[in-house]
Amino acid sequence: MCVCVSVGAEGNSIYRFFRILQNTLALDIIMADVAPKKKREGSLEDLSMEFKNGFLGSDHDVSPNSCDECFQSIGEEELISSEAFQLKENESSEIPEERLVVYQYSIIKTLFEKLPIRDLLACAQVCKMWSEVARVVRKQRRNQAFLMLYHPYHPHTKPIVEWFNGLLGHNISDKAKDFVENHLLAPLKDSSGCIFTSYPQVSEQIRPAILDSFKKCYYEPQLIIFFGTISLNSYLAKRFTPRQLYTRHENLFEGIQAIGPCMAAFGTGLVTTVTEANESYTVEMENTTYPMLTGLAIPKVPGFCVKEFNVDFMTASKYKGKVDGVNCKEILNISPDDNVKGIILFHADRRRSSALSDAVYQYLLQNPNVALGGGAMFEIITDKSDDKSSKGCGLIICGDENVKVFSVGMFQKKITSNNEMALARVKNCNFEEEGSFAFMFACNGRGAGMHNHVCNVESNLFRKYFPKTSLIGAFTAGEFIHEYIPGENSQPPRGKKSIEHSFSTVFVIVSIARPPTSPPPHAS
Amino acid sequence: MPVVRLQSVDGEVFPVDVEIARMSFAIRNMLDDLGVQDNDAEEVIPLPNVTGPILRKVIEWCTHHKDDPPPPEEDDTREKRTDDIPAWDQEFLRVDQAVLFDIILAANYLDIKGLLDVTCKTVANMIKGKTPEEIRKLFNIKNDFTPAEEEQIRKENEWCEEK
Repeated sequence: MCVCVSVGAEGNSIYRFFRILQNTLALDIIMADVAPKKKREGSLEDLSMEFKNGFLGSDHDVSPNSCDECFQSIGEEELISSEAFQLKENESSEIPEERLVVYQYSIIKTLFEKLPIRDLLACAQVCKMWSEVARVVRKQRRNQAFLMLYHPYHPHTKPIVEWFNGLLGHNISDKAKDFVENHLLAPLKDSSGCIFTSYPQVSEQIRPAILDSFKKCYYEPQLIIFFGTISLNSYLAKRFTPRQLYTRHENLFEGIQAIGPCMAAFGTGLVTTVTEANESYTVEMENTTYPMLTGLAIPKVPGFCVKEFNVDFMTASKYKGKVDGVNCKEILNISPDDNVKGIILFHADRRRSSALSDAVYQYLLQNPNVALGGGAMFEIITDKSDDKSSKGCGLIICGDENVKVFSVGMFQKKITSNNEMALARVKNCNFEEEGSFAFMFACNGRGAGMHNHVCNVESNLFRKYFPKTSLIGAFTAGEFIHEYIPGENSQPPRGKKSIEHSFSTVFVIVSIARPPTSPPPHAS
Repeated sequence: MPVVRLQSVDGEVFPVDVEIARMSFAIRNMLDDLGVQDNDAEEVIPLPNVTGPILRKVIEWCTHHKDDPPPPEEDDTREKRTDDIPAWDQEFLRVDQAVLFDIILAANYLDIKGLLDVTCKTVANMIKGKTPEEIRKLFNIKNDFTPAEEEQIRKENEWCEEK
């Protein structure tokens, strides 16, 4: 049996009344909104009478008594407090206007377009109509990569980096010296005058800070990658225990794993792009005694997919010396229909030749037109490694024709026109720079030590060519490089060692061209 | 300054400068369609969806913002900031939720982009950080999911949460 009634807009009292009936009597009631503005007259009792009378003429076995039971089960208090009752008291009562607002598609869409992704997803769980609007807004949002940066003196990044790099013998400007010594470090000084006491707050505050970034973020990521200094890595776990890796893992990833895969690599320094006080610049932090962490949230974009691979010690020894052109894909988590454009490779120790780098080498032999960059790190943590130590990990960057991945190396020990030419060649490809991001891995023997005590030389050079591209990366103990520029043909690597370099810098640039916004993409 | 008369649903008539009234694209179109000349001061534009008190608020907002530069041609998918509501607007929108919602409806109906924008920002800020249940309570929205649907929708829309 099916009852059809006109109840007005969803959410009004009569609608709710029938919903209760529907649930209690398990009836099929179609509730239609035929006259939302019409003033309703009559009390709840009248309504219930009408409803019961409706049954009298039907051949359905719902007796009028079960209707009475239904009203009794709703309870008198609930009826009195409900607006259905007030309908009788208040003659002018109509569907309250605010109810209309929350069910107006165009208004709700305008509202949802302003919400950070976390709040958009909360709204998707409110009711069916909002869920549908949220789905559309989520699909239409043109997600961008975004960078995060955490350190004890955030947001005073510029002077702090200059100062800590200066402790390694580089130049510190008087301005930075004055700012840091008088404004920043004073509270950390202990009685002996040593500034490197500890940063006990790091391990407790890092996770809330990371969660906070994601609560406020507007763009939806598909994968998150962090680079940190060795100091930050040791602060993540307070005590040296067998569970320390797990604790580090918890401190970094717990709560954000629901968003997507996460990984972290710790090197002898980090590179990031900072936007503070309307100023945007790159920094290279070369002093590993300062706890600093930077993260890149890789955006969710249709036709663009970044996957992680992870090789633990067990897998590494299983495949040692046995990597071939077939199992290399298994090791790298590459499936047959992946359109691989680039590989980022991290190694957990300095001994670079291993099953993992063999797999990358084997893959590049067959697919030379793929970009590769990466390096040997002090430690890596992935959300797959749990309390098992990871031997190596990395990213497989896949995508359709809109996705371009470039890799260029700098092999000379000075910034020469040769080095600059590599970047100029990429620049000449005229790719979509808006929303692009890039990785930089530089040998720890480069940096200010190589560039006459001047910091940020290579990241600044990159920025000169690509001011819109977010740059992130690390200082490494050996680099993995296979140069590739989309549109050109690369030679397959000559020998295993040819992808392993030292005293070099590699840039991997990821660009995603977006079709114009209108017409908006529709649900497929 | 030429004037046009706007009439609310409850019969109240507001004489308004044409330039201010034209901030509403709906009124602008009506005036253009009617071929209203500058000296047709007697022309009355009925606004059957807006009450007097709300129309007064809307006119107040438009009058304050009449010299604003036209909003930039916005990319609809760019990050929207909601922490940049001007102090005057914040004060102006310090009203009951019912009034705020009425202003949104009026801004939507009258097609006043700036006002719709700032009111939606205000509501967005009310939503931020809240759970679905808190949002339902805030706006008096009925949860029309079955428990199974709710579980499914919760899984699909999972996001980072502090534990």
